[in-house]
Amino acid sequence: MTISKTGPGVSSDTLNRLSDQLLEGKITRRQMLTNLAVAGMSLAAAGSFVNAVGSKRAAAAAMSNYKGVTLTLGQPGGKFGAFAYLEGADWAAQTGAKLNVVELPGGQMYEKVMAEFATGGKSFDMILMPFNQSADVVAGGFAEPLDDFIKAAPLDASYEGGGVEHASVLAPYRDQVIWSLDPKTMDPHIYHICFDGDNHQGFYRKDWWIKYGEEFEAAKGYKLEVDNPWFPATWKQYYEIAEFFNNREIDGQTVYGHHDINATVASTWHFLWRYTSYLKHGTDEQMRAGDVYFDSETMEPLINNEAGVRAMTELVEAASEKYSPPNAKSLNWGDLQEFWQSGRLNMGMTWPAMQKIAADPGRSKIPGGMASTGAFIIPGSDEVFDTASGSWVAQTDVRRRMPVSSWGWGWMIASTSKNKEAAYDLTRWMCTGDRRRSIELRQFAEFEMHHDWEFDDPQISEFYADANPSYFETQKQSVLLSVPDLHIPGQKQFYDAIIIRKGEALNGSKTPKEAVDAMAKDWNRIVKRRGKDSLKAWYEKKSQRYTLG
Amino acid sequence: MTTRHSYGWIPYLAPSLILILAIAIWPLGYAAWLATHDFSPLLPFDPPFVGLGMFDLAFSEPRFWNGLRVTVILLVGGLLLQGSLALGLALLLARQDIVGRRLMMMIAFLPAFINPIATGYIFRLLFSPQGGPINAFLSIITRQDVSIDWIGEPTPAIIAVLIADTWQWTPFLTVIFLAGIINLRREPYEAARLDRASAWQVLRAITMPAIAALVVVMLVIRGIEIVKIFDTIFALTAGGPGTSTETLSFYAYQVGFKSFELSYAAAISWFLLVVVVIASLILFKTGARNLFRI
Repeated sequence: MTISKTGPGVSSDTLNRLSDQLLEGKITRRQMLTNLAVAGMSLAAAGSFVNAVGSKRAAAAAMSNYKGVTLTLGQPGGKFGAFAYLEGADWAAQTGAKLNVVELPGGQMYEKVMAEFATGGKSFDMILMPFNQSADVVAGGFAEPLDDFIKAAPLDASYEGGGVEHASVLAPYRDQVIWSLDPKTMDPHIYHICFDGDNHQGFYRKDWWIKYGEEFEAAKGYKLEVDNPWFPATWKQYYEIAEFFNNREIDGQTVYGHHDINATVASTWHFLWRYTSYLKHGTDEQMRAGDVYFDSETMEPLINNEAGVRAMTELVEAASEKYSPPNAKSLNWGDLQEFWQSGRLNMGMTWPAMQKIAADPGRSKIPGGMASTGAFIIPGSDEVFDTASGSWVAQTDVRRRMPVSSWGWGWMIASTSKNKEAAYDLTRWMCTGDRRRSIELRQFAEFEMHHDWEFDDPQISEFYADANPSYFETQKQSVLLSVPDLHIPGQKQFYDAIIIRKGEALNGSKTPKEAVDAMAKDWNRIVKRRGKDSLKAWYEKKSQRYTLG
Repeated sequence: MTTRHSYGWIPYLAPSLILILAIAIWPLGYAAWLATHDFSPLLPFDPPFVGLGMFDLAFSEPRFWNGLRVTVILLVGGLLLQGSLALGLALLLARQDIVGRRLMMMIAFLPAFINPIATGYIFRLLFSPQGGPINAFLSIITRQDVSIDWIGEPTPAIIAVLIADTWQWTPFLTVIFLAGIINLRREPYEAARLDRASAWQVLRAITMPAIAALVVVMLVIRGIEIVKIFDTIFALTAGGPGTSTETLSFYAYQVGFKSFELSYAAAISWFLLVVVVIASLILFKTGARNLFRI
């Protein structure tokens, strides 16, 4: 434990030394008080100081002793990794462990982690991995199943109770996304501790919707329903709103109707959630269990059916200057943030970070900050392609939404780690209670709520007060209604094919139909390469829910 | 007459030979093993021997041929552009009457010191379709609103890669050519002056033949570097849009380090190696003699 401030007349070295001795139980409080008084501190100040250190000792007593343990964490760098240096460092100080943080590029976690494990490396004790890319880590036998760890305490217990607040994680993450299949037995096990409730949702400039609401209604015949998470209800409405605002002069600058992410890995979901919105494959429950990617009997890809063609066609059209900024084909996640925070963007869909960005005075030029923003659930459609009949059918439920989970992060423990217990303890510390809340409240962090208590937490509610009433409901529903990412071995290769073929459709070298057909061909090749029977078994089992009992 | 063999050199050369074996020969051999087997760390089976199967797979894959096409475009375009620019600049800087020649050489050489990844990111910003300086500059000089999507359209993206690579490496070539030119013997030039030869005649008959061998060597070296180009593409276009700027090297990286198809990546790499070696041998044999036969 390091103390940077000194008491009157007492050096920081003395304070540090005495604090460490008290925490380690080598001296009593009385002895520390005496030493401080002899060193020149007033009794009142010494008393306060001893109490402060002593209460740390009380907390520390609830924590395990991992002195001599060094944990190596593999995680993204930059703001994604801040918690390891803050909450993780706090845990290390109290348990006596040491943390060795290895920063990896966030967009290359799969490549870096797999290169390490697949070549026999044992550097990491724990890794912060995107859920959807972890199937290969599990299939390779590189990840430790966590069921027994979690079940060692009541499922709703927090850190102090020995638990990881498993029961309070929203069901789509808890029962769908954080588990995988044991590579030998194909039994389901939990391999992630959920750290981030990623989902995609819509965001818009509420102040503009209010200002131009009447004009829009006169032009289109329906209202811009501010603060309604279920509006826009359909993609048709979404595009009409985008067109209305595109290239409009507002507040002295040209603003743009909407902005898809069309380059890099984040662009995948801009195809996928259009696709799932237009798809009907079995029941909605079945789709929300993940059965939207393949025919589970034949392992033939579904993505080049008419829902996929329409999704790709609309995606290409949406990148035109009718709706988007110029040259939208090459815009990425950074561009989206830049357009939004510079106050030039009406609307878009991405991770829920946009409200925090609007509220950040160091970045945002949006007048009114978060209060000028609204949120909505990814739109649905009034007709869907039914794979059973092979035709388009009317869809009348205005609340039918199929947003894809879109990434998400969780901690995994390496099967080769010699410090699994310590790794799990650190994970529990970082993912629960006050630490979980502090991560959510940090403006620069991009981790989202995924425990039900977070949506009722007073501090978090106050932080997002300006963005409500639509923000919390949007985020919660976006998770509850979500379709999970494809989560079988080879997922990275399947999604890379989406990025490449989407790029070809956007640059015109393939028509949308040719692009999705090429995507399906790529997928067939990957299935054949990885083993159809094995992937079929994975896909069938992963298209179900697993609840830890 | 008997020949006496001396083996006294062995202890002196052995350390270097071991190093070369370890760093160059062993990896080549392992890559050859990989290219003739079917190995991926993501697959559960022991890697079987497949002979030329990985090469068959490559030749039947449209993305392989696309990678080859992009590589050839960058190679031919790069060599033409960089070779002619570098030669022209070197001839210009070789003139004795250029004021501040040394300073110009120093400044011009700076791009060669910049990491290619940084070059890629710098040019990504320069070529940004959202208010990037290059579009702005073109708008000024053409007096029209230029809004080229350098990163999002296939042809502009290849041009962008070419420009970035040319900017980075032309100075290097220029300095090498310049060193060759300024170290040429003066007598032929004096004789040409006495014979009232024109500048073009001097260039064609004296300068170019004298530096032909140097030019060929440098173009071969630069050509090999262009074939291997990776970092600039990674930062500037990531092989996109789609696969428009995906060279064979970049494709090998994608399949090797994203899909972990190590055998397939090794086969692509061996194909590139063989092609480059054959092309280099041909060029060395014929290039100096024929390259500047104008």
